[in-house]
Amino acid sequence: MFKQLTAAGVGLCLLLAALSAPAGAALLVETFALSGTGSFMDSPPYFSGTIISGTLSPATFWFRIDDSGWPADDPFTTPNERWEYIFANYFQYDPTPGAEGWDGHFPSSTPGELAPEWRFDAGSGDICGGLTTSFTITIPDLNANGILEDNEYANKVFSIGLFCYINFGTGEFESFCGQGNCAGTLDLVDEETGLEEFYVPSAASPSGRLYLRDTNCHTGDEESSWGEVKRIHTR
Amino acid sequence: MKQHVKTILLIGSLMTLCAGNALAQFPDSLFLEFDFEGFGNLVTMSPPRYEGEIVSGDSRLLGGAWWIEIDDSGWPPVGDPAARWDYIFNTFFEYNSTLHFWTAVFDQNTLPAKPVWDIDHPLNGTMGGTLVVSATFTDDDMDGVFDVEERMFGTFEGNLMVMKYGTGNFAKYCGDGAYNGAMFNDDPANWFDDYVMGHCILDLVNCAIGTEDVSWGGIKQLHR
Repeated sequence: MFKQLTAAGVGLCLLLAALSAPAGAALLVETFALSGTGSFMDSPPYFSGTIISGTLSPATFWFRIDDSGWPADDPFTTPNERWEYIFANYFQYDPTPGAEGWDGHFPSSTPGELAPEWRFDAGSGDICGGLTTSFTITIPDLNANGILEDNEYANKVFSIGLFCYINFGTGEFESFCGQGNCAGTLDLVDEETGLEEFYVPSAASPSGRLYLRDTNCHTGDEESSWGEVKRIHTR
Repeated sequence: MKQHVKTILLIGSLMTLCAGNALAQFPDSLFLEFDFEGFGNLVTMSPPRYEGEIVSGDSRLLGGAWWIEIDDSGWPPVGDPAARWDYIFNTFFEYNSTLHFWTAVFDQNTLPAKPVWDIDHPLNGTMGGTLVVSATFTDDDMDGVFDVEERMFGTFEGNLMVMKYGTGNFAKYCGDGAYNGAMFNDDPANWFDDYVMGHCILDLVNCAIGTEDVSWGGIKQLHR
């Protein structure tokens, strides 16, 4: 019990310290909720929209999935070749009785595939971004028949791990790096175009998190101290 | 006699009204959101178990308890925590040498069975299912070594499936969900428990309606 209380205390202290820290301090906890659209039929698949609430709001966002090697759909043939390729190469079926469904991981385990990229743009040149550490989409097999049906594809969930990379930071975020995550729903809104509604809740209680710091960040060869120097000189 | 009939009618009306209210509270489609907190330990618990409480969010889940468990078949015993940690790190953690972070994935591809979860609400019943867990830790000093202090903070996220075997007011539901959160550890060198906190969504549908689909789906599959 003592261990648990101590761990909880440290965790909460870290959070409280971060939340009460002024802008420019060593650790920032940013919150966000997202609302946007996108489609796997676009090349590359691009999900974008608005940061509707949280400390990063108002702002815009985008996620982009590398589609190198993916085929285009031939509109004169069925099924949709592009989706067939994605489903076959990225999604795996889990037959656990009562919890049947498909989990899709981007990138797949194929060596050399690039992780999806992301950006949050708060305007006025304040941008943070990077790559995803995980990007998982789950489709339930509601009738447990092992066949993906339209009503099952229509309502999906996703979770995304975010790694914020100093190379992509500008303005207020140019010296910050860190990690975070979000989870939400991906619902089909247009069968013709494959347009999906991308949503991370919520306007009332933003659930996405970014834990950012401005020390020990790097740009490959450079250390974050350069980012800090740049920030000081641009104040 | 007349008084008895009135009483019976009154009780009957109340029962109908209550049943109506219950149905109104739990529609065929249900989107639930909640925040959770808890503790757990990959190293000192077999099987690894994280558990805690639902601390805010939808009133139909508020006050409930949750847990997740990870299948640790084949892992070194908890009596040798150093060996067990080494096994976990070498088996599940993958290093990104460009951005300098580790990601660990616990799912049906990395384990004998997918991790499982459960929620138990004192009034509304239980539900559970399977989940995918992804965790990320930063290599702060970029040396490729997972230092003890780097194990003090990490983030986690994943998706979950909601099984059709819930109880109480959750009995009719199945569906999916997703979650994200962060973990803190004051003393990983001495195998302290992780403190975890996060947010979860559940997108539920009435699977009793889906029974018909199961039959038709089964028939379709047989005919293919």
